[in-house]
Amino acid sequence: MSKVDLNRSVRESNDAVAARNRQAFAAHGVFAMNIIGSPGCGKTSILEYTARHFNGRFAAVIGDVKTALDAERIADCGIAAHAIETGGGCHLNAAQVADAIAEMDLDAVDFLFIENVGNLVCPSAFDLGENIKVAVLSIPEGDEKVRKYPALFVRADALFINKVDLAEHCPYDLERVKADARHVRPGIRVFETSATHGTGFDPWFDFLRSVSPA
Amino acid sequence: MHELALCQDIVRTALDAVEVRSSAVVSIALEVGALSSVNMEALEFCMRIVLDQEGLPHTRVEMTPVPARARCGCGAEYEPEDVFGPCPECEGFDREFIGGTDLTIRHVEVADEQS
Repeated sequence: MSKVDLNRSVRESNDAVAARNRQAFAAHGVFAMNIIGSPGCGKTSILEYTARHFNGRFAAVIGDVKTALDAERIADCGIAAHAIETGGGCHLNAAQVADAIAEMDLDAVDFLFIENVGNLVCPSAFDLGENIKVAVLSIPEGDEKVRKYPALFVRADALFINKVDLAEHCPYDLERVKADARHVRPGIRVFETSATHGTGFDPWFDFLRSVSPA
Repeated sequence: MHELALCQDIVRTALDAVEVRSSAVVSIALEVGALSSVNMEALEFCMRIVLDQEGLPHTRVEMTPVPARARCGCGAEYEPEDVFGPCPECEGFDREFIGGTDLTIRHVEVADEQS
């Protein structure tokens, strides 16, 4: 019997492609965000509201298990949107994003939203080459999500708590969620928003302006 | 449920590493980090499916769990009982995770050629 030592990370091939994506973003002055949250938490609405505020220089890559509905919704706002239909896949990988950005004019883009498949688990484990990971939670999901899905929040740079307009209708301990997130990820930026009503976005816009490569 | 895709990568990597001796793979040893977003039961289940498809129904899969490991801003390194656990030295939360985040193929065992 002979033993072949490998000591190789299973995500090595994905990480190599992610590194190339990251280089492409840097070379073209693109700030890329990997948006991760449950189905229906408001990822697309946050993207729409943000893109309208900045009026152009935005592009989106949108992953869905089936249909290009979200990408069509974004394109209706006048934003360049590329749909990735994962056909059952529960997360985006770096190669899918590489294919998508190969078809884009990155020089015309300052901010790239990569909307991951609606899921709080595996999207967090796959680097896409983004500058930051953004977790999105919403009030109706309940206030124990950080505790239940810590792997995402350990890696997230920013957290949206969306649908705050529904707080009065749902038992939700906002302070607990923020404390939980800061426990697993000290320094995480938290934005409390209602994308439907457009409230709470100013700190987010200030943040984006502060990181804008343009 | 991304374990199946991971298993396809694992088995492809393992077979590539042993090249012509792929039919003689006796075992594949994996390390599964506590923060790797991989479910060990699902991983084992999917490894069996992929190995069966590759004509390797007798190849064993050895999985070793790797606990999370953290380094605190105060300099202490520790194994957090859960990701909400504070630093045992300073009771702070200013730490980064330095272990248990990965899924790694440790080694592949191959039967010696029989003449």
